[in-house]
Amino acid sequence: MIKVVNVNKSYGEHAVLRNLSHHFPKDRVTWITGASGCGKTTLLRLILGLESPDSGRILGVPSGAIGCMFQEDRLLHAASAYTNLQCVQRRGAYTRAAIENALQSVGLEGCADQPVDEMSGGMRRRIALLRALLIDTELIVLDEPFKGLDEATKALVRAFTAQRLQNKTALIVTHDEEDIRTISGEILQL
Amino acid sequence: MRAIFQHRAVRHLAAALFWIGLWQVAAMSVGQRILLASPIETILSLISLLPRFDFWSSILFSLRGILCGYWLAVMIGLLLAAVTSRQKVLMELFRPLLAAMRSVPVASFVIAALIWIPSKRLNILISFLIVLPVIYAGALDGIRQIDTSLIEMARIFHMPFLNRLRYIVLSASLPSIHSAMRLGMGLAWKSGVAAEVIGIPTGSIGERLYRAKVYLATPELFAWTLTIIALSALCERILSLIFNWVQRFALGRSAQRD
Repeated sequence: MIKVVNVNKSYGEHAVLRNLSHHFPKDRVTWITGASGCGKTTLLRLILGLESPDSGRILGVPSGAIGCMFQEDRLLHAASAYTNLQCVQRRGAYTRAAIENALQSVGLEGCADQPVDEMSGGMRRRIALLRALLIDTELIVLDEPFKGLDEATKALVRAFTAQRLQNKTALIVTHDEEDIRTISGEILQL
Repeated sequence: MRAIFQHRAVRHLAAALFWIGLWQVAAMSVGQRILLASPIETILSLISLLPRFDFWSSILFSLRGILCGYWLAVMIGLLLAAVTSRQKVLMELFRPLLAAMRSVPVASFVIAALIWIPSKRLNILISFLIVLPVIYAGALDGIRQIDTSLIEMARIFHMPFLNRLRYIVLSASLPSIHSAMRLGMGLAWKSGVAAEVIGIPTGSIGERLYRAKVYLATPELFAWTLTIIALSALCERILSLIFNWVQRFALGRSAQRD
């Protein structure tokens, strides 16, 4: 269980998180929602260890790899979809066929060898999401994973995500109520 | 006619022939081979040098020394850039030293070096000193090109070290390092041979150049100059081939031709 205890975080004069405490349950999805600028992404960055809180503590974050989808894609743009998914894995974790199957599951069949910089924004989002979901990890952190996808693709990708997140600890930022309805979990309203 | 000039090789050949023609016309106008040897006299002189043992031994002597200094500068320059990019204090410490190395004339280095080392080692030291700041600056620039958001991603995913090196570090920094190494190769040859001409180590290309000048053997002087240009171009070509291979490894595609 990840515990956020009395966490405060400010950027200059602007306080983003004020005395936040929350326990994120193990092996369950927690949806983090709230208005823009309320500190959702900041909370994820604190949990990921990319920033430090001004005060308070964050406990129970696993020390191993974390499957993460950032607000930005953060992909290797010169490399293919396959390389992007394979490069974060330990050697032999996934066969090429398994990765091609996963690509197919999110509507990217036949795209394994396509360089990411030749893909549309929606395709890149799905590659970034797959990268986070395929890695063998105790924690998955997703920041608005379905943003920028059309409704049909969103439904396909949500279904795949729901399947991958079963019995996993996941923190997901969203603004979309439909996401929360599709994948059951706890809700943290900031 | 226009279709023939579409080919890059034809355009290059035509440009080279134009300048060689101009050189020939200039040499015929001057009319004294001591002042300006013609292209034909230069080629004939080069042909006469080719079967001589001392021609090849001089090439080997200079090639060995200059490349030794060059690769030493590459290794130390890359290492220094990697270390100082993480330690701002060290970067500030080395900044004036490397700025001074960039500005000091080759002749000053050579004369100072001759006090300390034998002239036969001069080309190693001088090519090292001239190339080091170029490689350092190129490597620092390459390191600055590395996307820090990808480094964050790699850290969170615990991306294997070799993959980080290959896909994030090398793919971003190689173009700058390649440019610096190409520039450095040309400078290594220029400075290395200049050092040999001043220090006159026995059996070097610089010594041959110096003797050709003393004996007013202008065609031989030009022939040696052509040899230096060819050696420098050959080294640059081999370097580009190595980089193409490394870049294919890093990016999975061939390096862009310039």
